[in-house]
Amino acid sequence: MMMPPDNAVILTRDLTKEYELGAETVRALRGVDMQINKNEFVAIMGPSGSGKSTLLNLIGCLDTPTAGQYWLGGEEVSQLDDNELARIRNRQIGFVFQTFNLLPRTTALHNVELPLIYAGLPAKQRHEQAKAALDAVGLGDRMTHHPNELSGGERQRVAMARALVNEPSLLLADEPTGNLDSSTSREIMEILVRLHDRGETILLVTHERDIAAYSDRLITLMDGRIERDERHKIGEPVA
Amino acid sequence: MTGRALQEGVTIALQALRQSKLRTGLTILGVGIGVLVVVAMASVIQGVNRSFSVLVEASGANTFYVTRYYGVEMSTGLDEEGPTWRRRPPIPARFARSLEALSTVANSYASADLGWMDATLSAEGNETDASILAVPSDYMQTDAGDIVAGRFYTKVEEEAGRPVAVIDSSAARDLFAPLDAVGRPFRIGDQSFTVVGVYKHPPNLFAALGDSRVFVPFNTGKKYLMKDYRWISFADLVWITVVAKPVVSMAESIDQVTGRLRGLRGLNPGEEDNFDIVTQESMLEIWNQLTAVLFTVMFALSSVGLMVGGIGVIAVMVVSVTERTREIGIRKALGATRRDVLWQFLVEAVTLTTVGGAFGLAAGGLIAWVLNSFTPVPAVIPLWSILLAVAAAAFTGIVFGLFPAVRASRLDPVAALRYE
Repeated sequence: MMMPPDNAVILTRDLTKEYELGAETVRALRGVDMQINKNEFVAIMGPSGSGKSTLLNLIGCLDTPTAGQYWLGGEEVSQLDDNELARIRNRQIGFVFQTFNLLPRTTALHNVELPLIYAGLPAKQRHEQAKAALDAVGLGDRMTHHPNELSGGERQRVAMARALVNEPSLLLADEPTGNLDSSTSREIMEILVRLHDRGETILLVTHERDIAAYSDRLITLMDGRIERDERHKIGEPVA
Repeated sequence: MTGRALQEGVTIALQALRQSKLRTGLTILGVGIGVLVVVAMASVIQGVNRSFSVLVEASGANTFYVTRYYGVEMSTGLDEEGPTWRRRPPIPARFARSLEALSTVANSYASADLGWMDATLSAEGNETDASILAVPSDYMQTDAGDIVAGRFYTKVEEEAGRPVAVIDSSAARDLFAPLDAVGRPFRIGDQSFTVVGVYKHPPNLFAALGDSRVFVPFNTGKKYLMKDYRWISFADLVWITVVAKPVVSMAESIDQVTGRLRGLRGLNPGEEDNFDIVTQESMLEIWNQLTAVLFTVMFALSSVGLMVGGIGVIAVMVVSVTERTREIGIRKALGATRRDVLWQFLVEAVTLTTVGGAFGLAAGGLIAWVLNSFTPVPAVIPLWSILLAVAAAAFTGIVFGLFPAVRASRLDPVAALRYE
């Protein structure tokens, strides 16, 4: 049996995903081999329909592959059942979405507490950790605000606090600046850069070159396969 | 399921309740009605039960009755033999004296319930209906009511069969108000009587709901009343009240009385008794049988209410799950398991129905209070009915909330997150 190297956060072998769409079979991923190591900041690019979202769903354990294998932090997760996947999402993965995906009727603090609730932490500890996470993104004074009382940038920062509160081994950001203006986008990307400097492993899906430019590795998908996989110097423009 | 998740479920459910008041209000209406029926009916039955016990106990714990037949019997009137009580010989009044001679018996007297008779009382141009009881002069010893004016008739009047009567306060009011009833003449049918006293019922339902009541001496009743009926006579309606001595057990006294009656009737060993002995327990038993029927009806009615409410719960929860598909996706992405989601929606459904139950409970309590305060129907809310009502409401939430909750828990996180 194959074992992933120690420093690999993500390792996939021939990852394949097919959907039945009516009578047609859509081959969204056609065998992706990829290794992402600790503290890498990877941007995944590609035109729409190239399989970015599908890959992100598989990496995020929201979905299971039709074929192939996937190790996350040394554990093979491609064959896990629903409950085990929920546990992996809870402990190993922090999600940042384009649309923020905060619960509308609850406070920022409660939103950040959610992963800790599902982790089964006692209330006091949950509170402290959630507060610390909000402080870390500069929203210590917005804890009791509801999402509709926050600006877009603030909302995304709450979402980032929520993604990080469980200290996951991987941060997945799906077009995190897609709904933000350029100055707010820069703010958010700078937080990601700081997190990367702190040692986080980040996987960023984007179709914007200037957003991808913040990463240190670029993976380009095309028709469900990796077309290019190249090192990139952080901050340099992407061709 | 942590306490926090439970609390969160309740909070979310209450938010949903507030946000769509009309929809949720209609949903929980059925549950509320179901609970209301349980509470209102239980309170009335309990209240009636209580007055029944009071009534039965008022006649004294060591009192029992000898009747021709005791029980409920359906008869078509077509069969040759007729109902059991018809086939049995009447209880002669003289048996009472014979029973009084027994060592275990303190007191024994014959009475007759002439409620069979259409009795119209009339005086001073007023009329009222009443049911007539022919009882001896010492009857008041075993009755919980009071004589509030005048007196009860005497042994002398009774033995002579004098046309005197004690009427109850409502008859007195109907016939003579605002005048004093005592000493005034009135008629039962076309027979003249004189009022010697006014009787006030003990506070209980049956007295208040029934006809006015008139007491006449036993011998007077025998002499003057029930003359116009061919198919039933005064003698048919006689029963005997037996008061056992306080030092002996009821069972002992009943045995002795039964033996004496069999002797008086000349029954051979092995022959069945052709009379019945009625104790307070057997009266209560009949009542309890009736209560059981009422409870069955109550159960059926409230089940319908809860079913209707339950179907509403399914509808509202399915809508809620659909509206919050994205939220479910978010929760799943953050690590909620199927069970977490299932629980969340079950808690919501149960919160919904329990709130409905609480409203039903309040309304039922209000009805009970109104009945108790403004009508003669007594109503006491028993604790068990509150617990049962709340449990039934919560149970409805679980049963009918399960389907939407399961649906929510099975949502695919990818599709749920993409849901707009």
